[in-house]
Amino acid sequence: MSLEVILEAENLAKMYKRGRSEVVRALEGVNVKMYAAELILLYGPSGSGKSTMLNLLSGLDNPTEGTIKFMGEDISEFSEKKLTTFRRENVGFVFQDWKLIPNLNAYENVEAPMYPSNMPSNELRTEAISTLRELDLLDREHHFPGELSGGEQQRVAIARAIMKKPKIIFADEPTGNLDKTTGNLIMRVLKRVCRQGTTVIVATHNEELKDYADKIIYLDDGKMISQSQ
Amino acid sequence: MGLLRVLGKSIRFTFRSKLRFIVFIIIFAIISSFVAFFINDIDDLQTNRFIDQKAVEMEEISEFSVNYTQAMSTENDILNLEQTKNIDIEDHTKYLYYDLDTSVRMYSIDIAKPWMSSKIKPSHMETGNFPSEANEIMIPTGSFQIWNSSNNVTIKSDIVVGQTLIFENGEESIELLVVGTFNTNEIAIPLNINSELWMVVDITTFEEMVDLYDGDIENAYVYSMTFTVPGDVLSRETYFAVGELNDLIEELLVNQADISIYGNWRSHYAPLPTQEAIDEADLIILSIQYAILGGVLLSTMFAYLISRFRRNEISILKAMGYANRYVRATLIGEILTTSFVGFIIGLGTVQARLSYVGDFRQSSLLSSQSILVSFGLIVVISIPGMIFVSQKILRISPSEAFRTK
Ligand SMILES: Nc1ncnc2c1ncn2[C@@H]1O[C@H](COP(=O)(O)OP(=O)(O)OP(=O)(O)O)[C@@H](O)[C@H]1O
Ligand SMILES: [Mg+2]
Repeated sequence: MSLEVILEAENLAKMYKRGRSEVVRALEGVNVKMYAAELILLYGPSGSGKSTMLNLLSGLDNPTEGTIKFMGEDISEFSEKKLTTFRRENVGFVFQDWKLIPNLNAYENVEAPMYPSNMPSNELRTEAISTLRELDLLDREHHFPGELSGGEQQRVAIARAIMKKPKIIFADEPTGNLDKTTGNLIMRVLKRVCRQGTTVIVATHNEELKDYADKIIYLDDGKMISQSQ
Repeated sequence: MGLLRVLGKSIRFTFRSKLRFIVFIIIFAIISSFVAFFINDIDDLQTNRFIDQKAVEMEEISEFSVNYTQAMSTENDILNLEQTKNIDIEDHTKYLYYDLDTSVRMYSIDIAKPWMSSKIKPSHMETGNFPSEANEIMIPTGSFQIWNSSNNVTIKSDIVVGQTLIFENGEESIELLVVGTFNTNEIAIPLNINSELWMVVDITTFEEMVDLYDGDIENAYVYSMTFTVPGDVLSRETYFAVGELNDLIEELLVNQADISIYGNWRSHYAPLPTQEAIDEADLIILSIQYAILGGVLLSTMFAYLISRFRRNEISILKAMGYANRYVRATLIGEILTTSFVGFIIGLGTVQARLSYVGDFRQSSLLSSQSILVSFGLIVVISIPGMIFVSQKILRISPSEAFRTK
């Protein structure tokens, strides 16, 4: 395994205000290092702060305390504009409920993250087609999300995430809406993506996914309990 | 380039959200048809009925041509009424004619004031356009040219819109472009158009043409003069002022007994519109205001609804790294496409209705001006919605994408 540090969080904390005075400590005192081509599992029960942690690490939300370094740069200091650029260039997302755009077919969903780029449309097409092929989705190219099974939709979502060759993929309960067999298929796909050099961070409360992990971070009630290799 | 691609794609994808698309297209079509319909009514009011009613027109009595000097004397006397009789005259124009030759006669118009004459005005066009540049001219429908060769061979050919006529005298020449033909029935002065060529030219070109043939503008004749009073064409006061001016002019004409000095004139003005006509005009203007207000409300509601419907999608796009302006482009693409398609359908509906009612005559078509004004209004109507959408998307956070429904 490569030893290049991709993401490093120090003393990370997030508090949410609820109502007037109540403060929810969604995450506290988290210290982690994530390396290139690692598949990391954020494991913990519901409400333990997994999604909160993904939001912070991916720059979707700002931490209340602590620093997050992406390849040495502190992203918690970034302006919103710089964060958008950071996400566009380095981050892919996979969601529990896929979040495909319903009006776009599989192929267009995969292309969509690159529309704002200056990449010529024919190169974009070649790239998207080869990504779809990689995920064995070529025969589903023209299908709309409503016409695809859950597993297929999740594979389209993964294709969309890896299309721009990100450094990190964040996946929140990627198998949460799928049956066991399909869930395993998705995990194998993510594992393969990871082997090709992308750091994959999966948040889950599903114990069965542990087999795929290079590293497991245990969360409970907003705190990091342990880390296992 | 990326921005254009995002906009282009969003225009294409708009057609996919069928129900939303169709519903809002219908709404936009209804708004646009109202706007276009009322704008067209206003256009008709202006052009056919109202502008004439601001003016007193003087015409030569047909047996007695009025020459330039005579017309100047009468014009001066009428303009003097401003001082002696304390009445306001807003504008005035003289319409001249001049024979370049026994068979070529020019009539003058003022292209800056196309509606000042009730004889030759845009609504009397049969084909083509009313001149809008100094070198553009109109001719009566059916005008032709005749060439006679030395061997008595005669060629007769129609003059058509788009043709250039070149007038030469020695080194100098003037080129005139025929841009339209008009209906001669509207012109009271009897002329034999079978043996003469008439041209209607702007007054500046008229003077240049007279110069070209070393003539003198003082040898021109005057077929009519128009005097307008100040005021809003939709206000009843204006018609009373016109009536008063006409009375004063008639009184003056009686006093100008010597027609060798003043020419022989007849004055008239359009009859007062009925209160009903004025009410109708007021109603049209009120309707336009309501159509615009309704349009602004509906398009803002549309903008609000699409930012709601697409809230999820917006947060996904933001999470994927779309900057705000790209997200905005996708929404504005949808608003523009929907309102534009709706506009075209609305316009088509009005056009179909007008054509059906108006027996397919050209005058029953929407003028290009009405279409442009309506389109401008539709764009203006969509602006508040677009601003609203732009504000709205700033507040949608990309982390919303992580929340599961
Ligand atoms: N925007 C917010 N405002 C207030 N409280 C929040 C907000 N987001 C999360 N929380 C709270 O923070 C805590 C951690 O939430 P989080 O969503 O990170 O848990 P999770 O581990 O992802 O749970 P699950 O497995 O159910 O998705 C919870 O108590 C939650 O109620
Ligand atoms: Mg969660």
